[in-house]
Amino acid sequence: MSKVVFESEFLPITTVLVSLFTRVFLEEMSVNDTKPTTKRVSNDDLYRRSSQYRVWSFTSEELQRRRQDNNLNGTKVVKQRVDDLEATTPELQEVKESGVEPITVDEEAKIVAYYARKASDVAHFFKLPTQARATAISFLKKFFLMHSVMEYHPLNVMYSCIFLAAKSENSFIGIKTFTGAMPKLTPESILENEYPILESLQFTLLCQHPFRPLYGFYLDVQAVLPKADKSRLGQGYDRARKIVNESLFSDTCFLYTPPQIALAALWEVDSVVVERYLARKFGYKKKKDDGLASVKEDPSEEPTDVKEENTEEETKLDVQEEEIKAKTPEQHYNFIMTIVKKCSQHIHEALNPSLEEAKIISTKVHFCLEPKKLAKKLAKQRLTDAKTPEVSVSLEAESLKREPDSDVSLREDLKRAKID
Amino acid sequence: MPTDLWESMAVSKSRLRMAQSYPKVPGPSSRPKILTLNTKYISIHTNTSIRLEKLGEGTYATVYKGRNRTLGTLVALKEINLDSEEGTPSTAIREISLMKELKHDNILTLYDVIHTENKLTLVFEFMDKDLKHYMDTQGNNGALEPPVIKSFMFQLLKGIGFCHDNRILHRDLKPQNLLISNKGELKLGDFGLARAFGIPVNTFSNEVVTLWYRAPDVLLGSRNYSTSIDMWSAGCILAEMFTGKPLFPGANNEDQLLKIFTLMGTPNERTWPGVSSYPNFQPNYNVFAPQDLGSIITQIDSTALNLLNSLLRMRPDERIPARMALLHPWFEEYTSGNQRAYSQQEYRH
Repeated sequence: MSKVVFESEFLPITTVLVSLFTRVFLEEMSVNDTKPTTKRVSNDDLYRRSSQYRVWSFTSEELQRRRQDNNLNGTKVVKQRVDDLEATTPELQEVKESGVEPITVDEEAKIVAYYARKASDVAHFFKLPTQARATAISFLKKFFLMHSVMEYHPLNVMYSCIFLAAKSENSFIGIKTFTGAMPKLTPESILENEYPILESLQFTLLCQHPFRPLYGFYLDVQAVLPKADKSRLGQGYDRARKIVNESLFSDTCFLYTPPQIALAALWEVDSVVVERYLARKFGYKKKKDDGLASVKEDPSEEPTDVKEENTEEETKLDVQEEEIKAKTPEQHYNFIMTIVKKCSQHIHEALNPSLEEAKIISTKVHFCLEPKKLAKKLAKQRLTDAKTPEVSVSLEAESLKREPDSDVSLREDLKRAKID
Repeated sequence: MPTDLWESMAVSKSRLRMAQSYPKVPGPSSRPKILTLNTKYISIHTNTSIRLEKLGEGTYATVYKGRNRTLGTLVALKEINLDSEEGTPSTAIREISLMKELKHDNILTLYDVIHTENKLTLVFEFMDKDLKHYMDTQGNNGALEPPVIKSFMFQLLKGIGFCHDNRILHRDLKPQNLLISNKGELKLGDFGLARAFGIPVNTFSNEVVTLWYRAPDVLLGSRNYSTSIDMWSAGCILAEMFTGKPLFPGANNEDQLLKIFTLMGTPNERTWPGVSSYPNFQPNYNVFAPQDLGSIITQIDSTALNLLNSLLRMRPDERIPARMALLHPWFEEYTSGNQRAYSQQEYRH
């Protein structure tokens, strides 16, 4: 009788976490073959099977095209809404004639980024784990890759995304607790968006974020470079985590794999260690590689080629993978470094619009969603211009004025209350 | 659709199973109620539909047999009530989330998700029976023939292996959740309690896995269990296929541990370092010596017994992982290139 050898139930930590280039394979029996062949399933293959890769990986051009299409579609919807107005007042007639100014593609990106950051604050407020917080942001970004803000106001979608992400990440928050903690929020407003979100996500709810691979790299760097200074690595990890957090507000999750983003963040805080780690990992001997002692040297002494321009067309990951196959260690290394540098640049493209900017866009979005509000605003302006305040109308106008702005400023209150 | 077809389906003994509880449904209620779900699927409200176990948020789903209108294939429609105050139940959300990722021959396929009025319907591939029902109807007092057991076990381990590769724990493996087609295929179903895991794996709820198939570390209150809990369940299922009876039919948490200890021996710090620090560990357990599983499961051959012993390890870190178990000598006929041995045609029932 053969002896059964026991192995740890966990795969080596690098296998589980580092999917980009770890070449440790899992064995999968292929029953249809005539020989006891083993099909090799790498972590790359596993990633390629994930919905995150199949459904939610794009090139920059694809992203741009999608956003333009959404925006065009949204603009049409707004025009239809304006056309459907019944011109019962002069102001309504005026709105009907002049139309409502649509949101531009850039404004859409800004307002979504703004609410993505707010989603992060709200998630902090509810003390959601990082995974759930990142998933909520991811849901919001994905939803607005399928829709224009002229169809759904991102504020409402944001709350629903957080509620849904809490469910899907096993951190359930009761709807009463959820709405109770947020002023002006009703269970209906959360639940009405639940299905549109699920559908827009094509029911692919499992998200992989760069935090886990980042931790994996942190551990693996220590294993591969045992002489590297531990406190330096620890500090680097903490700083890289902040960069990974910033990446949540950029497009990187649609363009790169989570390990690529994690590596880019680590490289940004400590290029020397990361480059040495990668060189060691690929068995590539850099000319300057004169031992691990130099890891402790001042990073500024090392040439890092941060500004190296990459003129290559952006390709989807599978093409990148094909390219990588027939390469020497040096080419492997250079290939990964190119991705890392590009990714690092993308992280810095994360938008962070100001409150004022967001308020202006949010108000515009409200007018696009309900053109009547613009007519009311016009009516109110006339009243103040004529300085003949009528109680009933001004009250209405007052409430209107508060509405769009308070959405945004509420988030500011939250920010202040945020527990990090 | 000819009416005789509907009727033949109504009297069909095949049962649609995804639920835990297994109530005997009373006899035929004449004609099936036909509900039109949408243009794509027809739901046949047969008397085989069973309400699911309570999962915290309340009754979660009802499963109906259905037919795809365009393809004519049978489907299983898992209808989830959206009346709940909380919207879509989180068990449904998690199940959708995981099933969307898990595309494998030995895992039930989720074809579609449909939203109608107050219901969310998950459209799964249709399977004829679950393993429990299969054992009850095809087995000899529940016990199956060794070649069938081997085929099912191999497929079970492949399904588990695939979940674990994707860092997903099933957490609720039991005969009722393993679905059997009439071609002898076995597929893992009901991922309502499953979850994705990463490293570090901790703070899982310890209120998972039906008691009888629950690993001792979970019963002792472990909250950082991992893939090994599914392997324990696989071991319990393997034993049950040989005997036709559950190996550890505990009545409650205490009794479950007692039943395990009686057979596997009461663990101590020497046999299982760290066991006394589990939250539910009692220092005054009756001390039992480990029994020879082969003398209790007389039907089992020595190679299969070796696999069983590798799965039913008290210490979670000693339990064989799914990928290793697939390479076990017991499965040599599948792995050594004898293609015919695995051919599902042989076990067509």
